[in-house]
Amino acid sequence: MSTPIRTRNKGVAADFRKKILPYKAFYIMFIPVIIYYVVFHYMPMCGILIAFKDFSFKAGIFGSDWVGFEHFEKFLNNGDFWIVMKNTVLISLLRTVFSFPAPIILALMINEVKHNAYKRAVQTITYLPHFISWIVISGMLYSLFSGSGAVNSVITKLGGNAVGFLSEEKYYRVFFIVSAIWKEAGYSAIIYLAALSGVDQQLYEAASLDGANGRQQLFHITLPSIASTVSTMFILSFANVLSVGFEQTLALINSSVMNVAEVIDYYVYRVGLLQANNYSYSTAVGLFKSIISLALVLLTNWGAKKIDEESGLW
Amino acid sequence: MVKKRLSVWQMLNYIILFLICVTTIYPFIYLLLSSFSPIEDILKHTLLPVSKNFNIDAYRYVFQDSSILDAYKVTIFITVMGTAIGLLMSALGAYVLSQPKLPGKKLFMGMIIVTMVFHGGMIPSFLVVRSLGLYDSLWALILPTSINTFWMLIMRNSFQSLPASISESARIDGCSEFRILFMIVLPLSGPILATLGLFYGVNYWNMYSNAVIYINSSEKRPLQMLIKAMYQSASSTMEQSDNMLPPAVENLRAATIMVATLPILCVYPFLQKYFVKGVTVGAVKG
Repeated sequence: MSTPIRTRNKGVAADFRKKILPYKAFYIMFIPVIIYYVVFHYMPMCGILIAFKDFSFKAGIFGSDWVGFEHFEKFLNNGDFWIVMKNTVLISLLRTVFSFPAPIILALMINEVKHNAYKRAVQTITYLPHFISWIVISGMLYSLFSGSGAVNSVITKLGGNAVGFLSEEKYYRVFFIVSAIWKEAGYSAIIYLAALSGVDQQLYEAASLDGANGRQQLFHITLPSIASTVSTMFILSFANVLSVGFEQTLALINSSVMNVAEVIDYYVYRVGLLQANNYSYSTAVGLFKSIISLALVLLTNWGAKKIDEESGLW
Repeated sequence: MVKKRLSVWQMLNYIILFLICVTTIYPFIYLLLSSFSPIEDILKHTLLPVSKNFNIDAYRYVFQDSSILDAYKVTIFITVMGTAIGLLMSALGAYVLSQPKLPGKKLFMGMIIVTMVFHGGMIPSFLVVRSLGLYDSLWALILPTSINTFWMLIMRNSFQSLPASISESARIDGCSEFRILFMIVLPLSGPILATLGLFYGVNYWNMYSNAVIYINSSEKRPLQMLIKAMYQSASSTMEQSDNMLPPAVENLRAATIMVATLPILCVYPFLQKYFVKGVTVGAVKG
């Protein structure tokens, strides 16, 4: 009775020696990587449990009492939900309408430049802000646009009244979107420029021989050739519909614009760490966001595939 | 006629691009000029604060003030350590995942890809860092972001594009995998190391939100936190509520920003051709 087991063990052992052992060094190498992912990605995933519990440090994650969906209900029923969702979705929409096309337009413009030195200079300069932190950018905005900043002093010198660019709610979204475009458009254009440089130049020659003008070439050659890149980037951007630049918000927000500036990510931070330590509640809000984002990506990918087999992400 | 109209468009295009570049550089020029001007001249407020009394007092102050120097040291420490650890960990992961026949590779890849789509979120990560005893430690700024999955996969793609015969022949000669990675694969991967080094370096240099979440003591604040605090104390009516802060004066703030930005400004143009390639390799579908 024990014989078959022993032979099976032997088989497993032989298998192990033949297939796994030669790769021993690789598994050893991979240990730090595994540890990193387990500790900083999978342990926090387990920590999501506290969204369904009433977390206290004393009891720990597993010892705390279950409360089911209480925190989710609380979030959906108190007034914060509508304000925070409205702010998040509004900024997201503005981002889709303005920030998303900006690098595409910039890439098309750069692509039209015929002098290579000028092209390179424009590229180098427009990449620059990508490497600058949001804090430095918020400092720049303060120096230029605050009540005593450069722009306002010029306005007052010309006889106007100082404008509260950074302290009035109606300007916040404009500054949020424009500064994001200023920072990232040049860098995001890289990917479109790469797609544009892959277009066969003979297509343009053939088109112009056939009498196609610049506009026709743009709509019938250039744009179709970057369409798949654009759709991929568009799907990817859906993953971030509810993630409206936490670091940017953290840098630009101030108490006088809180009503329009507070987005989900900032809300999670404020109720979780900044003001009250509502760990469980704010984890629930964060989880709510992650699940909706995930659903949106899957949905968009599915939709894109329905339209065109090639355009999905996977 | 068609040709003529095109060239008008081209001219317009050149001009608009020029204006875009001016808009991009202008804030840097403004701050650079402010940092060299005495406060009285900045307070005259023009769009270009060019001062006759050009001086470097602000910079002298920046390099004497202990809180700024502390913050500078913190930022340099996390940047150097973070970049080194990030590159090392990414190289290990990328090398292992670039092995075509490694048993369990699918499992590893799956495990890693999941983390790109879904993550625990701010509070659970905070609790993990806290339970590891890393709260208010500089390691809390380094370790949680020590592998960027996306960048590691870019590196893996780059390793896969190296001819397999090189490491194969070294293996036959009895070279250990560690030596193959460090003596053969990495020296052949200069461009990708430069690109990811820049990415990791800038990421740590600019680190702010993690510092806000994980750092409590004022002497452990990185530069970005200090700059934020300098502007906050300027915008609040109670100036210098925090004794650790240097006087919130425009030229001093400008000088601190310049000091915090210059290293990046000096490095990135030289790495341009590499990171352009890195971005396109990583982002193109497939």
